[in-house]
Amino acid sequence: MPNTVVAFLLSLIAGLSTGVGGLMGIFTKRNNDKFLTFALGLSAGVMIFISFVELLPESIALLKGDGPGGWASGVKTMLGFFGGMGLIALIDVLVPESENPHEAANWDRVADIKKGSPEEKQHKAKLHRTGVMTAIAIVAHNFPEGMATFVSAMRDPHLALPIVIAIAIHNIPEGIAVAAPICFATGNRWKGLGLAFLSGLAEPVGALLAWLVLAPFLSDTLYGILYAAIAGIMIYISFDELLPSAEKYKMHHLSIFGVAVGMAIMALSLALLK
Amino acid sequence: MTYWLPAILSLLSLSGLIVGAKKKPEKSIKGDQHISRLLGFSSGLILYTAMGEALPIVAEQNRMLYFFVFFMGMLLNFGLSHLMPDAYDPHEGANAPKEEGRKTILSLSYHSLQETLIVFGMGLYSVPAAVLMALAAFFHHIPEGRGVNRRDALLATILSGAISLLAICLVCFLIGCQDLSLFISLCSGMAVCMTLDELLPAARRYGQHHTMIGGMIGGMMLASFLILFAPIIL
Repeated sequence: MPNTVVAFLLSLIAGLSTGVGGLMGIFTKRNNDKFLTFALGLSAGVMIFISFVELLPESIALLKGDGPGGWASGVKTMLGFFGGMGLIALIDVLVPESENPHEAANWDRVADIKKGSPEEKQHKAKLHRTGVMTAIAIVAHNFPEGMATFVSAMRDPHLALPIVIAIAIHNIPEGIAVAAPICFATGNRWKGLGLAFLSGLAEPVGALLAWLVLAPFLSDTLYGILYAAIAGIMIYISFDELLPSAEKYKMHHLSIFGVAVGMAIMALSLALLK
Repeated sequence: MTYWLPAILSLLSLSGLIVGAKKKPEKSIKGDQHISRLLGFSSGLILYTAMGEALPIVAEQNRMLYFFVFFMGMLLNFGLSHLMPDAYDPHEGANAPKEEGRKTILSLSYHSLQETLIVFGMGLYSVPAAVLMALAAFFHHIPEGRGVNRRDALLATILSGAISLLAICLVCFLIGCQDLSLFISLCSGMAVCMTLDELLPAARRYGQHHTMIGGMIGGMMLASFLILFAPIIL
């Protein structure tokens, strides 16, 4: 199977996991805090490990020998790495915190409010807005993720696999964050699920964009810079969003255990693949 | 790579305790933001050096073995840190005046001993790594010294320095001319666990989240710059 097709399939899988999260969101009555803490920690561990141990060295290796002196490759890697961080930081700044898909939501508290009261109507309206805005925020987040998956898979599907796993795992809570408020606000499960799936489709759309815009220019240099940028994006997401969200449920050791397990999974897959 | 430079730098990094002890333990928003930034900065230095530089290089020869040792390092640090009750953990409530005397000195010494060994171990990898880890340890010892009187901080520094020196000598004797990579891998794991389990949560407690992130990115930037340009400068 050509790499392009594999790359699209992988980004589709990563995007569909948002829908899996949506399914979980509409069928659970309350937030499963322990599961979310562990999953967020695991996702962060996967991303941190793959970024530092595989993507950055791969980036340096691809860029080596390009330009005068070996340090030029290091400079490009640095610029790509911190540039990727800067890009995702900018998206983060533009998305209000209350609509950030990684912020824990109070969507399940609607069950505690008196039925038929004006407070309930207000809360449901707020939840609906939260769900829609979260979906928009997820679309904004998923574009670069889809591009990242596609680019890495185009060159080396084996390298892309851990990235896809990391992105898929962290998309699950995002799907919950979209589907659950809509479900609670409207009483319509399928609306919540549909919106979660649609927002996840931003990943393959991002992949398509990457293919249309970047494909003619793909070279070792561009791959190297993009790998560094992807590493920067994932490191930033892990420390700015995933870990703090995991810590919000006040189960610090469970989140650290999740991080360690995520790192171990990646370490094992890298050791076996190479 | 000789043992002297990392050994000296790791012992010098303990002086952060004394520097921190000079600060008045007044609770202020600005003071807390500085601590958050410092801890975030240390975390960034450590993560980039340990995971971004040392681990991938040493593990090239045999990933399975070195990754396993890395995780053993994480487990070791987790176990050692949690032997100490939270009440004596210097990362908890650094701004509160600490109970004077033996318990504070012993808890600070025990905590600093692990960190000194980590700095020494990571420092065996390269000169930039030695400098970066020592800097990280120095900066993060500063908040640990807050709320401690200078006498206790000095005694803790001397005690942990003396025990660390003995431990370093023992490590040097055991490793000798052997391959240092396994030891570096172990220390990388200990460093990463310390950062994730202690430094970053402490940084979040003191300041706004983005202050900590800014400090962390700053630490990573300095680490990447020094690692990249050190061969040219030196």
